[in-house]
Amino acid sequence: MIFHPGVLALVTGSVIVLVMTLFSVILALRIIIGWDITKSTARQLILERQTYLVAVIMKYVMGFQILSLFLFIYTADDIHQLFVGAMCATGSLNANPIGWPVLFTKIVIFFLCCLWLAINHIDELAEDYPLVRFKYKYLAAITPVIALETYWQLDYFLGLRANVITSCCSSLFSDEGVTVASSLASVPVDTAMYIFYITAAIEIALLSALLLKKTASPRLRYISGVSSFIFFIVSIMSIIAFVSIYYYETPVHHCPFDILQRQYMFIGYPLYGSLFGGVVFGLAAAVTEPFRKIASIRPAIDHIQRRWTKISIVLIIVFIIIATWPVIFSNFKAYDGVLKPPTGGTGVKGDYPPSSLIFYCCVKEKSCVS
Amino acid sequence: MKGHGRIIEYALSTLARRKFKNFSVAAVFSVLIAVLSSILFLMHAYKTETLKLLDNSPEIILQNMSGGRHELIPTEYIGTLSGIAGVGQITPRYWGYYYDSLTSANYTLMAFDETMRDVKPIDGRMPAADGECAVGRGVADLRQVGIKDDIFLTLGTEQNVNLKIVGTFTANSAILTNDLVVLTKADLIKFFNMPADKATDITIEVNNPAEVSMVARKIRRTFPDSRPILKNELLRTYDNIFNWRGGIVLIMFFGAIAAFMIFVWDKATGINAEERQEIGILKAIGWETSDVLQLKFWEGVVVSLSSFLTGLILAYMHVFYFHAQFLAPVLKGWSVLFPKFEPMPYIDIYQIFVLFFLTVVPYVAACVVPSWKAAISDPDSVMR
Amino acid sequence: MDAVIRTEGVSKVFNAGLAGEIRAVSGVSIEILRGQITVLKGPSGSGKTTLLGLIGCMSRPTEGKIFVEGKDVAKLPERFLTTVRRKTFGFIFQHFNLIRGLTVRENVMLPLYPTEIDGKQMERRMEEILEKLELTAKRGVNVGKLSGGQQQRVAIARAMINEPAVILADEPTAHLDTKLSEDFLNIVTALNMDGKTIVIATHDPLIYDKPYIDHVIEMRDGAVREAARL
Repeated sequence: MIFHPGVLALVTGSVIVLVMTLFSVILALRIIIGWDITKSTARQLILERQTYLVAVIMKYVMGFQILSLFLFIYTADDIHQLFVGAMCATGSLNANPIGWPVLFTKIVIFFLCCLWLAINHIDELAEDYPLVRFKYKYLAAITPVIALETYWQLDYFLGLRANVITSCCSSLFSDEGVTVASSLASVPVDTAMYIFYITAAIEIALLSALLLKKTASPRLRYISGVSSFIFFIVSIMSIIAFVSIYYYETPVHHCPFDILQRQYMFIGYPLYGSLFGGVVFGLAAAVTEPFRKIASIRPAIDHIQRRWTKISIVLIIVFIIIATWPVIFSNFKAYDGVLKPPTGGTGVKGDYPPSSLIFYCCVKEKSCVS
Repeated sequence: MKGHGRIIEYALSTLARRKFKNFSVAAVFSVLIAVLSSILFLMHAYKTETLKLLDNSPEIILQNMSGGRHELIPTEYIGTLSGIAGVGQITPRYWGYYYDSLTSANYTLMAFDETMRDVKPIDGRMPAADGECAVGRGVADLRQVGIKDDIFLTLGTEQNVNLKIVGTFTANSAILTNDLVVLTKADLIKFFNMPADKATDITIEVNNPAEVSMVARKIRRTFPDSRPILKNELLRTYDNIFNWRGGIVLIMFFGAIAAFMIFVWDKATGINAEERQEIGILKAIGWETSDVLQLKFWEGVVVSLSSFLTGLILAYMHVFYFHAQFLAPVLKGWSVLFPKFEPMPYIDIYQIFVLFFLTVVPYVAACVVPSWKAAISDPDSVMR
Repeated sequence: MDAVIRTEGVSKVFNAGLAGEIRAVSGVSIEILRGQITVLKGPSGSGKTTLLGLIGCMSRPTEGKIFVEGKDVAKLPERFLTTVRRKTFGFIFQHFNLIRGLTVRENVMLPLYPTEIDGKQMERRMEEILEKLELTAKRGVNVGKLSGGQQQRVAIARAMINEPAVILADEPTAHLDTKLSEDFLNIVTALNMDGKTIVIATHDPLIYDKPYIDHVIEMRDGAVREAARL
């Protein structure tokens, strides 16, 4: 299994990144111990210069995590052939219980790295580097997560055995199962849409409220941070619950990965890109709030929080537009009038003979088979 | 943003000024990428070709086993098989291997049947009457024969046939048809001296693909000494084999990648006096460490991306226009009759992505520390 | 007149605590007044170049305070030190330190590359300065092909591109003959007329004997031996 070129690429990349991170942690620890901004000794100068190296490495690590997230999904998609019942990336991820945790960890690391860079950015704006110890402790704290991800990923690929019977996306994301994913898929389209648009409205409202006054109240900041997080979760669920089926124009095809493919015009990239970007900026603006207590960086934070909030709003609106686009403009209707299901029904569920449609999804959908 | 743009411009001009040094790095990198890409392209082409052909193969191939070995299968099984629910068309197949001492090569002899009618593209046609045959390109080349020529196969005084070639398989499907000789069922049975009530194996279509494994289980229960081979299993096996071969070759090239990283490290660390002086000047006249880091970053981006593109284009031409002449001898070699492979050109984003990961990521990693070392030089170094 | 730069007991120690410890500058307290021409005079090894680097925010002192436009920069991290240097100082180096292979205009604009200044504005500034220094005709020429005097004028142009308040020159006449040295001094006095503060570190008597020098600071073994306002 390990000899698949994509797997080799992922494992090598992760190991390189882990080594680089460990190296920067060593630097970070030296900085934590030796840092004294009041001294202009040669040693302090060296430490100061090492902060540049750590920052550069973390930027690369973040860039790598984004790419590796996509490569991981692609690779899972490419190897589905090896597993009985797997028709796309979802099947491959199911083939080894560690598959999904690897994907989630990659996403978590992406967020952690982005937030580290946000804090680093703010720290570098103040002449006295007020957050220097904090940010390197934070860095040391996320390193185990990166190590864990490298290990799990290796474990995942080593543990893959061809022939493992796994479920394809349409059984995982079909409306008959009992998994979390399938219960998502079985949420009636209209309910899912209500939840999504209400959450989105709250998120946009909160972010806009932050911009009303020159300095927003800390409580509002924290609330909007939580709201960004919730919005992220709800959005991912909504992509599975209804955005996907509108893009695929197939009532039971809920796969969150296929939209990254060519036959859907790569629409998944702007979709996920704007979502991740919007949420990261929203979170960053909230996470930096506690540092406003420090006088030397307060003006810088005020300025930057505003900018990040604005970027967050723009990206989230872009995301909502992309997610809503097919609902309005595609010829496909999840049901004749999504919001007004036919008599007795609450949505898609039960109105189609499920087994034949699962079959349709897996066998006829090019994305699944090819 | 304006500053950013000018730093990129300056990075380009710096690269241009040190043409020789940068060119040598880029050249080595390009060749490395070209080799890696050739391997992946070729493996992928082999794989797709095989899988494409398997696409047309039946859902289940049923073999008879005796003493753990493949044995001829009684055709009377067909009656029982057609009674199993969900089973579609059942076809007995007649085929075998023939070692041709004249050319020291193994041929695959196969009897023509209905299922092959529209499967394989050919020049000429399939054999219609006894004494006719269609041959793969490899066989035709080895024997130096073409359409309308005769081909003589012999297993001894009793078992021999003289066949008239009425068709050849084209190169597009070479990977599976290269060593193939298709003849009529009667000729084949006569040639291999097979009993009249036995076939080599039986192919079974299954109407609903979802029921394949269930049908296979039923068959095993009915005929305990039979072995149903599922198409899915075949696909997986081939997939695995090709990934494995590609992976092994890649592993071998890991050494090359490591060597290259050291080379890059060395080039980047051992900056000459002139370069050091230049960075010193930049620092002295007001460039900040992060500006120099940015400069180095863009230099790296330009070198690695241009090498990457060059490498990809070289590999593409090598594999698709020159039929992987340099690589094919390494990767094949399991048979004299390995097909002369002319893969269909394709571009696969996933593969490019994988290649990017295997080459550019290590390159970037190797560059980080050296460029940082260069960037932190003292601003007042030029005053000393 | 106010002080653009003021130092209080500034010292710079290289290889502190090691066998080869060097005290390049030791307990220097000076004031550089706005709009004046100041000369740091002394034999080589007397610490004038190091002191010039310190007040020019090239490096940080080991001890003491340095006020640039009233702001103490002695403890500033390099990142911010660079910002101060970029805003306040223009440097003319002993060896000119031009980048070979680049044209005159590229060399002159180089300090502004990483800044957010508008491209057109940058070009305009460059053209103005080149004209002042009679380099307009040479703007597209590779600096390697210029004579020593021309190279120095390019170096001066580069020092002026960020419109600094203070121009620092380190042994500017060391590689020039008398004629060219006179030319250099003419340019410097013209700059001074325009309101620039000038600091020159030199041991060339041709310079510190000139009548228009406002302030001479004589250094010996890293310390100020004598300061005279003329």
